[in-house]
Amino acid sequence: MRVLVLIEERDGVPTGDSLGIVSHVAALGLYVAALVVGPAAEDDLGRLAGAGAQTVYAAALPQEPTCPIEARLALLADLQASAGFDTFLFATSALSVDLAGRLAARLGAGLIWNLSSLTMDDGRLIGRRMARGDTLTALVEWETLLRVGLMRPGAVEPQTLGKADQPLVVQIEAPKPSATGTVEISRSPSLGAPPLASAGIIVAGGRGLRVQENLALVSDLAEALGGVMAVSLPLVDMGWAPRALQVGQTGATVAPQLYIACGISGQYQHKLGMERSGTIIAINIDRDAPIMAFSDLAVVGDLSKILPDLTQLINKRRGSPP
Amino acid sequence: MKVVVLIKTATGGAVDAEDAFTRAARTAPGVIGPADAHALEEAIRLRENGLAHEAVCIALAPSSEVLGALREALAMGIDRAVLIADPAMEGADLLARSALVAAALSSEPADLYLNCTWSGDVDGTLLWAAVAERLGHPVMTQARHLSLAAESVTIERQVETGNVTLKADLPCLVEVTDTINKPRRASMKGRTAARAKPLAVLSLADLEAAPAKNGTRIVALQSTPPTRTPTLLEGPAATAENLVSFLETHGFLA
Repeated sequence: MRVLVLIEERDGVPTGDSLGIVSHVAALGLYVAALVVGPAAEDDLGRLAGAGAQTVYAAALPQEPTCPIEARLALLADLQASAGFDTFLFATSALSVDLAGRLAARLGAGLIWNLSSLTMDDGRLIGRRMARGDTLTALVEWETLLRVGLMRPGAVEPQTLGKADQPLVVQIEAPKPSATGTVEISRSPSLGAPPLASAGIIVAGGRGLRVQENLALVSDLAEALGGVMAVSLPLVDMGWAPRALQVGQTGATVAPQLYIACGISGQYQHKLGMERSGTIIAINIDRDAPIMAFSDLAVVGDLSKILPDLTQLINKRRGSPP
Repeated sequence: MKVVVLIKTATGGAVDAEDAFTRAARTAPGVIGPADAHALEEAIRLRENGLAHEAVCIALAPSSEVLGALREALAMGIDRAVLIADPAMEGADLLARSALVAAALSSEPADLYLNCTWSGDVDGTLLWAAVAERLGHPVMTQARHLSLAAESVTIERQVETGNVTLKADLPCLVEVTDTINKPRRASMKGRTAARAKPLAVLSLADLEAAPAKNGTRIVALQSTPPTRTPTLLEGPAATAENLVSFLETHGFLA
């Protein structure tokens, strides 16, 4: 079995999710190679080797405005043909989902997503994936000769397997993407590391706040607890808060000691961003909201009453002015 | 300019079916799914703005039980609807379903194909990308804004590193998010008008679609043990005082 992992980078450094997949596959004793798009820095090669990559393919892609999707798709399909890879693994991201779907159709490969781990059973590669709001766990097997898989964000932590050898580095040229395709017109500057990533206490607000003024109740509580405020995607979409404060699949993935979700229903997209928090408190008017099931304390009540009371009580205990 | 909207009524193989079941359970049978309404709304607006001359809705399902959803789409303002009802849809995994959807869309050549999924709904996005590959068209997913020109479509999407604007030549597949618009409700007038609109029910044999093969197989299915056991505070117990004592017990007010 020959496995190729597409390495995603954030601010020029391979993401933990990508490195985690490499070491997860290497730990199964399988041959694993990494595909890096763009210049591969010495540090990156060291990280990939440490994670267990035996070969690193470094591809130079044409400059913008060529869209990354088509160019990467052509690259992966070419590597399948020229280097005989049979298994393609991705970390789940906005870019990789489009890519993995197209690649599976192009190669006629079975597709398994939301994978939390992989195992080998009698020479067969088996994926574990969760379904139905994570209440069911399925063991799924590929029936095709070629396989495409997407790992769930944060599913596998990078391990250092202690390989001292530098991996074999193969420079490859990017194939020309097809004539019809997507073109990138503009992109906002990278957000960099969000202030949320290192926060010990996060108080997050969602759609259940109902009116924008109520966001102040969330920031007041965050301040009283010595934490920071965050929001869920709908609030960013409504223009209530900047992207940098968003927790979730397309925002920040956080793991504070305490996470208080105020008026957040707990859609899968949000859950992925905060499920590894230490203690989770959910305050919601709807006792059946999904978030109630993956919290440590589920409070059914009215935010506009509970939040100011809570802030006041905490401030009083701390002796600070209300 | 013709716009085709794919709405989600199909189920899939065991695991896919479980996911589809969760989605379907949110609405009564034969009613448009909340996400699908956004894609339909976008298509109706393009036709109303004169950018498109026809807006068509397509659904694939194992049986014709879902006709109600298509009637609802017609009542909202869609011009024509097609249901591909075929037992083959049952048990089809994502790879197989992408082949069947591609066959259905090939029977309705359009300039723009729309669907809508929840932002965390990875399988819907994967399906749309796989369908685009089979049709040989570009695909743009997670669009929060869409603008249509004579030969191209431009979208804005949110990705991990920020916002990106993308443009693609037509024909193109676009997946919109549920924040792109606020869907209308069908009016009484719309419901009356819908009765006169064409609604076709076809089978895969009518499309001359080749049988689709699954690429995956479920080996075992079990319930996931809960990761947390929540303490519930409700009614008179849901007070700020009780929250404070919880925070204190867990050492957050030291």
